[in-house]
Amino acid sequence: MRIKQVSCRNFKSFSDLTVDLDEYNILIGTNAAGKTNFIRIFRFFRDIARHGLGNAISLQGGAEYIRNIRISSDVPTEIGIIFENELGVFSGVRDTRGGSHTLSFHQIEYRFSLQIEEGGYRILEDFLRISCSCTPDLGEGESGQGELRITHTEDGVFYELSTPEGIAIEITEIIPPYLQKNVPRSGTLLIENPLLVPMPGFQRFFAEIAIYDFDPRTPRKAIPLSGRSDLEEDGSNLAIVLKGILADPEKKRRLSNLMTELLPFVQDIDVRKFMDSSIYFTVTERYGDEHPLPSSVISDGTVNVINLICALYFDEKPFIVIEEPEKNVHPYLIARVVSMFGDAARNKQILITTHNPGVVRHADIEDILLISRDSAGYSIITKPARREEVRTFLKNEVGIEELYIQNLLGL
Amino acid sequence: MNRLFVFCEGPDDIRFFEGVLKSELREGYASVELIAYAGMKHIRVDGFIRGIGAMGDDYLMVADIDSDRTVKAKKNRLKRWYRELDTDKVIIVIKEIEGWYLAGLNDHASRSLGLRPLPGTDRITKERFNRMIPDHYVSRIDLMIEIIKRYSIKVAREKNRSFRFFYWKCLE
Repeated sequence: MRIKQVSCRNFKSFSDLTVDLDEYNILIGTNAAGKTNFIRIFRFFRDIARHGLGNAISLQGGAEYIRNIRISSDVPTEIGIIFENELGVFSGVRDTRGGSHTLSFHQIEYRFSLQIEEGGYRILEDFLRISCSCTPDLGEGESGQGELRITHTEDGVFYELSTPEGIAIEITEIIPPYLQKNVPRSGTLLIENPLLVPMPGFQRFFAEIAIYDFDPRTPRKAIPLSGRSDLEEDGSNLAIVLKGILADPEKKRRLSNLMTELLPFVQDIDVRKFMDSSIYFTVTERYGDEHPLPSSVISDGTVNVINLICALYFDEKPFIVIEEPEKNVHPYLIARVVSMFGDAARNKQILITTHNPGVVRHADIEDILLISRDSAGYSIITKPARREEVRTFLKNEVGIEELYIQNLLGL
Repeated sequence: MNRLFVFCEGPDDIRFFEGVLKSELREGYASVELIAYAGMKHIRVDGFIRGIGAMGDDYLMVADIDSDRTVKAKKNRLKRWYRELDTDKVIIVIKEIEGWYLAGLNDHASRSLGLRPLPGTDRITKERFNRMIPDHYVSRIDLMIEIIKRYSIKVAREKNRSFRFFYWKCLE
């Protein structure tokens, strides 16, 4: 799964935004430009899938903080996302003449809009479009494009299937009648109701969005043995994550190599139990006479780098956001950290936010997204690589980091 | 005893020199220091070269041949960028550093990593290297580090002509 595009209207500091994402994206911008609000779009989707719309709105601070207060209250808040890649296959789908077809789903477009009202909200639109290719199973005829549209209104959920010319497929071939009669609970969205969407894992696409903002202090503490095995947003359960990695020889070998890349003085990493109730990790340094140092005395930079490696290489999530991943990292290592982002992006989609000119310097300009405020004060996102003025400066050996420091990337 | 500064293009070159060549180059020098120059302004690279000369130290600049057809053409291009550069101190990697990585693997080492043994690596580019990465490696950096662990300079001299030249010039 890959997020191809996100869009929103009247959400937080955005008036009208559409952004295309690549495998690897670096979001930069001045303070209060709207970086955190952009991340909140992903957080909102994730929270809806995990906890429901009501809770997701509450986690954003309440309905009144969802919309932009400068925009008229009768303008709805709309949020959309497009996924692409191989998303699932339906085999043996019968057409009305008895022919058999395979539907391969390759793109999902999902959007919903809310009317924010005094003390609450109302769902105005809840729409899903799943694009597919339709291929005859016996090799007779050519493949064509089709799409399944699912519209959720106050009156229920409606399904509509478009197929290539000359092929007619009843919707019941894909959605059994008993599921078509399902009515979602009032005030909920399609992504909260997996039975309404004929695509296994549809809800998971959203629920698995991972957002990290590592705090180097929390992972240092010994934590209870029982806890989540995937990395927490602040990295606080790092000891448990490391325990899982170190138990697998292949993962342990990989961790050791990647640690060497950024922390060459670290010889070994281990986890230890304390009183059979809690767990912490230790690091043995090359110059430490084989004496393991407990996590409580390890530097912020080391803790941050270990968290970063775990998120980039050992987290199974297909889309991760990491806020300011270069925190406490020495400038000499920044080039290696940036190289790791590109490396890890071979297997997952990555969005990085940063203020660090060093990250910008070592990044490919094509990977950079610049967030800024327009003349009306709304947040906008642009690609500096597409700006002629920026290209001209780069040709004349003005470094990209220099343009960033001078706040000229948005020219 | 003076120092040797090696200008490397980026993290992949730095990793290679750190893991394979630094200890070999160390002979005859007090230390070997690596400088990543990709993305650095030309004037700043010139400043480093002047400083190194003023301290009486030595340097090498390592560069991929990229799109240039000959070593001479690449050296001329570098000279246009870096006015202080002595082109005799330039080592051209053909085609890219990934070729030097793969050159050091004998057949057994290649197979142990899941790579097809190659008789020569003069035509290896970054893209071709990336296509060769076995599925069980989720990280090319991880694979590169495993290659370094199995690296044989003797084998590399046989499999890559630009590495052989580098060896003859700097290590023999």
